[in-house]
Amino acid sequence: MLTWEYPPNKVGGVAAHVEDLSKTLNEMGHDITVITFGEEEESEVKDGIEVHRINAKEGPDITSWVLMSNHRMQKKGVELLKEKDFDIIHAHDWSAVPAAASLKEVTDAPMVTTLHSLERSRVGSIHSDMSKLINDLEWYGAYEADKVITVGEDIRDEILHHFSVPEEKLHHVPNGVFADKFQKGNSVRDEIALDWEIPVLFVGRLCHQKGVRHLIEAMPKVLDKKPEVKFIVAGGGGGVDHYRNMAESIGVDDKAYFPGFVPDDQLIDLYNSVDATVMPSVYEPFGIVALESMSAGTPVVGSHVGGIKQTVVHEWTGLHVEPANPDSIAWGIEKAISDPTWNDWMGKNGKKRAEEKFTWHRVADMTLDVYDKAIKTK
Amino acid sequence: MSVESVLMLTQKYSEGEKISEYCQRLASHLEDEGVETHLVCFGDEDVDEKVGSVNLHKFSFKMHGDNYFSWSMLLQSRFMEKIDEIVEEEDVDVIHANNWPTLPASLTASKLHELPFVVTYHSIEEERGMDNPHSHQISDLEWEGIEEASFIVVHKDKTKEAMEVYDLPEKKVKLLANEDWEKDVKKLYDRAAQVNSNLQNMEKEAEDNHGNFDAYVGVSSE
Repeated sequence: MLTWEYPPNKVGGVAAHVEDLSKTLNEMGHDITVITFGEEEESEVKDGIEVHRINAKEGPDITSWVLMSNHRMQKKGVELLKEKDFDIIHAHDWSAVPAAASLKEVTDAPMVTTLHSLERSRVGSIHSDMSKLINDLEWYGAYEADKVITVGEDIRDEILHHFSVPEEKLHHVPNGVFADKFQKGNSVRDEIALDWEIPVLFVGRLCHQKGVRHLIEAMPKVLDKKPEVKFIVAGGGGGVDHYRNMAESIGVDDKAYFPGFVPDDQLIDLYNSVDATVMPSVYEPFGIVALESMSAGTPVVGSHVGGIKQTVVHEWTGLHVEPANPDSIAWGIEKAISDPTWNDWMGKNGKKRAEEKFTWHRVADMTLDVYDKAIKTK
Repeated sequence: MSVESVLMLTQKYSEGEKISEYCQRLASHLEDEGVETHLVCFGDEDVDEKVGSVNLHKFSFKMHGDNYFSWSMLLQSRFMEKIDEIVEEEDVDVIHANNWPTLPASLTASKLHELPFVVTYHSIEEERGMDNPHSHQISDLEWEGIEEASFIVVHKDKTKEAMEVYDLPEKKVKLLANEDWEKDVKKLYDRAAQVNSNLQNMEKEAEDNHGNFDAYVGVSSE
């Protein structure tokens, strides 16, 4: 597995995805080696997985750093080839593509690329040389790969049309969740809300893609009808101050709390303490937050986009709302919390769905199936 | 040991370009000494042809980087691919990189194919002023080349002086300012290939004797 982020380095969802997939494949008897970036060059075996961290000097831009890192990843891969053979070279996202493509050239192993999201949708359009390069590397990753895995059906269609990838090369394998991990939390409701308040949670990077602006615009509309609602907007990213100021200027700052980045253990407590989790994303290839919240038995109010269309079942495990539409988001939140019995019922349904449909074992089985196909295609 | 085949890398190869002329001149001397030169570089189209003393292997590449540094780094996958093709077909004895844009692939290929690696620094970033946005990364690559090369060839005092920041073993850097420097480069190839071959033979011997600890440490079993 080649990935630029792997725990403890976590920026987006890729780190957790690669770790959980690797752990599960390892439990199923497969030998997994991860090459990733680290603060220092080091190798360790953790949970049965061989992890090699390479280091590259930071540059003035992300792309030059990624390309330097790929040179070091490739060198590490070649070093490892002296000791062992690999059956599959698996790249996660554009940032591991050059190294994976080179390793594929010097081994007989097929290459599988998982595209977790696409630059054109993350930033809205390709409008800079840097975006163009990232977009090209995503294309190159799909072109060089024997098989391409996408975490959602929408992103699968995007790749099919934008990159003209043959349909038979594309495989949709969703993200998984260790549901029990999210059921072990304690309720901290008393700590985050007054007795009469109803806490609603947002989790994610505070950026345009996650639709934070539309959520803040929806807040006064919700509060107008349900003044007992309190919003916990959890997540880091460069936008924290911007969105906090926005909440202040709209006059909802006393009902919106921005704790910044929340570590996993606290996050699990939060999922277990709120009446609903809201995902107002404008673009969401998968959206692991939905599965985490569902695992904790908390209904999800999510935009009808990307992976949320597959994880959340409307009026069964949560509600779908229109993306970028504050009225629709406000309607969804209000409806989800309006009837406690229905809210509980949706929570239970969501939990069951996460436990049955999105287990890592199921996802690992699907991934192995793609590996087999890649080996047969090669 | 006298090398018979050299794999040279330069980013571009064209008439009148300084590093290209350097490679041509070296290849011409090598040919006189019975050494074959394979030269890999980027070009407008994929070409494998004999040009003068050089077996030229040009590869095309359609992707654009967002700057010169990233484009140069992107080229490395294609360099690797081409090197791999040549090494599969020819008995290459040594890899010779020219400046940082050919270093990443040279370093990796040298590890992959267990070939010695020599680099010529026509200039280094320190000497060029470190005024490029990617200077620190380029310098880092140059340092990696310095660490891993068997020998480093420079042709100017200025380059050698600029390299003093790296605190290197003096004999590792060869300042070749003489008229017939090509002969010295050939000697460096031979020396690097000889040591590499000796080490590989020792390793092989150790592997063959694996399980027979006495023989491995040179003790008679009697």
